[in-house]
Amino acid sequence: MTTPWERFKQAVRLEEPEQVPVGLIVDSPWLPGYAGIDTRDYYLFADKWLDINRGLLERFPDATWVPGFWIEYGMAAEPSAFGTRMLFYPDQPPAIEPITTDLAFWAERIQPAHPHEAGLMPLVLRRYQAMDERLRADGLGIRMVCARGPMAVASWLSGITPLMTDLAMEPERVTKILEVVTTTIIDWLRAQLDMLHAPEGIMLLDDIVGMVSPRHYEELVQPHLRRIFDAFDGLVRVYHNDTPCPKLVPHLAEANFDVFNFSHKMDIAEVKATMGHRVALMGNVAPLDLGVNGTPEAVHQAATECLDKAAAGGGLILSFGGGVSPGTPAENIDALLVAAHEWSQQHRASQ
Amino acid sequence: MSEQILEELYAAILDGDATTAEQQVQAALDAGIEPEVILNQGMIAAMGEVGRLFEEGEYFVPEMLIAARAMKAGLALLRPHLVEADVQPVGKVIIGTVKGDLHDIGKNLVALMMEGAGFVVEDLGVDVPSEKFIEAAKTHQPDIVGLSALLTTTMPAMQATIAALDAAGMRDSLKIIVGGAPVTDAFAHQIGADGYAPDANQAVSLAKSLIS
Repeated sequence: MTTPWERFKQAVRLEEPEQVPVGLIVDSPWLPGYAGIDTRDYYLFADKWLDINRGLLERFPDATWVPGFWIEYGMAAEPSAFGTRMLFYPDQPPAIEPITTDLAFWAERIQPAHPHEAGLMPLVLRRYQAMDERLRADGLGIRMVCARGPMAVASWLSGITPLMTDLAMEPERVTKILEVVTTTIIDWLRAQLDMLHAPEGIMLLDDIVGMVSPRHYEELVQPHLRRIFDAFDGLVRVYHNDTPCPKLVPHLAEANFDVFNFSHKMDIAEVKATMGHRVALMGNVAPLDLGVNGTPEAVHQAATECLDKAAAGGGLILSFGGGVSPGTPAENIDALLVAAHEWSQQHRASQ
Repeated sequence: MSEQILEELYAAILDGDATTAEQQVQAALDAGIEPEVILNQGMIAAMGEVGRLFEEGEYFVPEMLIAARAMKAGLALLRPHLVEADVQPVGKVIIGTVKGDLHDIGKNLVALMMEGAGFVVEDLGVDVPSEKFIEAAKTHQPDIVGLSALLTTTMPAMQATIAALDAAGMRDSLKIIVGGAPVTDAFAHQIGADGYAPDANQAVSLAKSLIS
């Protein structure tokens, strides 16, 4: 019997595991509420963080958590390294407030941030080192690390509206910022990986990419995404972007990632037909309408429809079309796992 | 001649060319075209086309933003003439991202498209508490209140704002529309909003239908 992580990696290689893996992105929008604690305590107290994340493995032994044991402060680590303001709350991840909405300011002054010194990054690195050590002592360990992508980070520096406007009006200015941010992201991912004994993958999260046209994407965004993913060739590379962006799908795979987690508003059969020969798909049951607000039966039905559309032939990781949303009940995750198990059994029996 | 000026104004807005848009508004005024005609045939028509192109996936967020920027440049020049000619707006809107949420893009797109459709828009910004919506509603007497949220964690603030408007005795005198990535039609009904729009263009259609 293969482990969930082995099945996940089989799907990443576009193989068809004996059971379709269920992979779920979990982080601080969901986990503190799920565990019933203050979001700030989740960030602050390592033992609570560890207990909650270990508890997931015990409660859902058949799921793969992506990245799994994610040390994060919401979206704050990367922008904090460039000096943005962070506003912390008891019941949600921190909000980021741009220092200025003027991208000319950033283009003139921005320098690569050093992960061992800048913002919250050094604290994350120290905790990764310590937690990986503790988990290894229990036969576990941290496999993947994460970063926000270049457009997401740039959007936190200035706000999305100025970034989008300048993308069209001042592309050289935006390019200069994206180059520096991309260098920082690569350094940041490498620094995190260096903290681990046996790293196996990275995940990059960038929904802002989904807002631009194919032309802007190819000219101004893809070179930076590609630079990041190329730097980690040989590792499992997951790209999360749950902005509905059907016009970009034919172009996205050129960025050279292995797994795509995308919006439930895009039809998984169409996405598979377009990029499934190159990239494993992770999706795409509606995270809010069904994951949070649906019944287990409705989740099971949607998951089965998703499996019917995209599981045959391999390369599918059943998931929500995005992260696990705040308020998702455990029973709805169980429903995904049951659907994957039942579908795989029936599929094997029919062959 | 007049037709050509309006066509060039329309094209400038579609291209996001603010300088040309301003020039063409001035040229239209100089040619004696009625301000209302410039607004309707040159600008509102162009922004309607921008909305259509966005909905059909031909325009994206950057294209929409620069088109709106061109429209606003022309509108700044035209506005005093509209006031002078006593041209009435389609309606009044106050809009903001609710308390606890600092995201602006969805709210900005809706505000721009509303303005492009002939509404007067009062943008309250982000992280807006319900008290500020009430104060603005008292001051501006809007037809429509637009509430935006990008986070599932801030969606309850929409309900709180609607409840606060209700408690202030203002609920029946205005329509409330909601939007944002995690918001759904079902959620809008659940919290007592008058409508939900999945994107900026549909928000304009919804607002028009609610006040018609």
